[in-house]
Amino acid sequence: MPSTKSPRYGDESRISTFMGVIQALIAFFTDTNDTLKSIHVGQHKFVFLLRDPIYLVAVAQTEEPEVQLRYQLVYLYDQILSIVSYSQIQKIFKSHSNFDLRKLITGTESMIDHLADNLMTNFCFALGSVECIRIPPMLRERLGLALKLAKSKNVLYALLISGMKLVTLLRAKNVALYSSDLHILFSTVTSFSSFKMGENWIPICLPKFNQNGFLHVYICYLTPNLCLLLLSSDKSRFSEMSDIKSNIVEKLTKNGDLEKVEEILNEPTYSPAEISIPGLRHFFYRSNKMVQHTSSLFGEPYVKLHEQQSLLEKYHGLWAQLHDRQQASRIVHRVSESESMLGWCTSTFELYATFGPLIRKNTLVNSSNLLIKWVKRNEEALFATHPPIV
Amino acid sequence: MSAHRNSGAQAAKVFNFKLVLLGESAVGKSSLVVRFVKDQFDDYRESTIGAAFFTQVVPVDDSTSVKFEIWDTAGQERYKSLAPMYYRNAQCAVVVYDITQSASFEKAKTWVKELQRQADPDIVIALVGNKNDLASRRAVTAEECQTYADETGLLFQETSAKTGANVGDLFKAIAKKMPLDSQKQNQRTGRNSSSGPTRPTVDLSGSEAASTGNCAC
Repeated sequence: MPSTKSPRYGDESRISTFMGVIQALIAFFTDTNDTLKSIHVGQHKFVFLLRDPIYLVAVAQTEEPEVQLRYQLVYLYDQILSIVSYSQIQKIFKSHSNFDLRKLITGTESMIDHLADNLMTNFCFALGSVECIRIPPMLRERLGLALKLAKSKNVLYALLISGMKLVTLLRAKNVALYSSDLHILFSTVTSFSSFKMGENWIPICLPKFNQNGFLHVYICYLTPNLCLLLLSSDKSRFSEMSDIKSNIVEKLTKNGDLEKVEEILNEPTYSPAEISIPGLRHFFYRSNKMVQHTSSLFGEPYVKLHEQQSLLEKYHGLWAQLHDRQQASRIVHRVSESESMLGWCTSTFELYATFGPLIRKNTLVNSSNLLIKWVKRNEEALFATHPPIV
Repeated sequence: MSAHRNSGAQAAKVFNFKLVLLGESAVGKSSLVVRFVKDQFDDYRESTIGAAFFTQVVPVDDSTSVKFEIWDTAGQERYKSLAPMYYRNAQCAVVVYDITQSASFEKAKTWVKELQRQADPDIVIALVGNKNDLASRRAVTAEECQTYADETGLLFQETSAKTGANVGDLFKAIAKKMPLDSQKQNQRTGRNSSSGPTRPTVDLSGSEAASTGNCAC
């Protein structure tokens, strides 16, 4: 909420007292040169993120650790910046301190809702990496070659994505986007089904890249599941982007790769059974070098959405323990009635794996090592290991 | 891009024209385009972010057709500064309001004024009252808009993207208004325009676009 009290949802009159209390609390701590970070009251947690003139508050009754709620607020804040940019917000609130932020972001409700849902269900935000799609390495390389047609001084980044997942990318030398910016970009693109029609040209502020300026993104679905994104800093380059798209489509149609990749994207990714590692039910593996991650499908007994959701909550718990600022651990092992879970952080990877509850500790260790070997062996298929740079 | 004749079969001459849709948010600009281009309608439509580009061909007669290169722009205030980029080189504009919202008609008038001040002087403008399926909630009369359109030299049409009423007719009427007969000039300006980004104009023999005109359908 902005510091001038305007809730995004719900009955304004019902929560205005609450907003008043929050504002008073924040003001009290600010007056004493302190920052209010969180309040714990009974079952409730209140987490604050103060980015003057915008205050963001998360109220949770769940087990979510505070650190998780905080990064969720940061993402929501980044999404708002992606629409209006930091400098525009500053400018408006400087001249109208009572400004209702909602006026500025009308029409983007679905974007913010979509991100909020994603934050709960997609582990990529915690991992801080981009999920990569498994495809045959040669096919990825050919897609990368086709992206080289986007080589232009006006293109900073060219990406092929499917949903929130990366297929491959091409980037300009000296330009590297943070994964949090990519998450905001992917979430924005996937939040509007209307992008599936026609060719789209949208301004977006990627806060880590430059919180005061806008990039322009060309968005076009080449197939129902494959979306091309071209990032430019020049808003007048649409027709160049459109030509690049035509060239890429022509190339990929001629060699049949467009059809091939669509076939792969239509099929679910790999199951834990396919890897055949004793006791393994599910995992996430993050490559620190590539800042990408891969994960298996949810198999038994995580078929229903709420079962997957509850497993994700447990992964978040592991993640929070591994990333606790005060006492971070390298390895966390948690056993419950329903499963045995491992979180393992090294300098090169992070692994989050789920096994059956009765697995012996040495089997769990052996299986985890086998899994890491499997990932290494399949690295080229699992990750965009050498995305072209021009 | 300016109007030009596609080389190829003599039987089908295709003239390209850039068309821009303007108007307040939620009046149904995107719905109109989607009805026109895909013949679809979605009761729930998301707001447009930035702008979307479509093309659609309209046959004018047996030997000629018009290919519209359509820019569907976002109506929200925060995108206002981007609008000139889209109407600057446009040869036609569709300014849309919602017949149930009189404020949207006022907004449409300001768009028309801006176009007449800033856009190509020969631009063909169509004023469109959308959502005419909601006649019971009508807040803007067709007569009032027709009078305004006549005085200002605009095409005028009421449409419903939802039922599809008059949508095809609207674009057909615009296509008929476009200067298809001045082929030579078109070809010339077409070539010129490809060399530079500055306002290519279509040479209108006569002042057809500026004359008062009702929708001829």
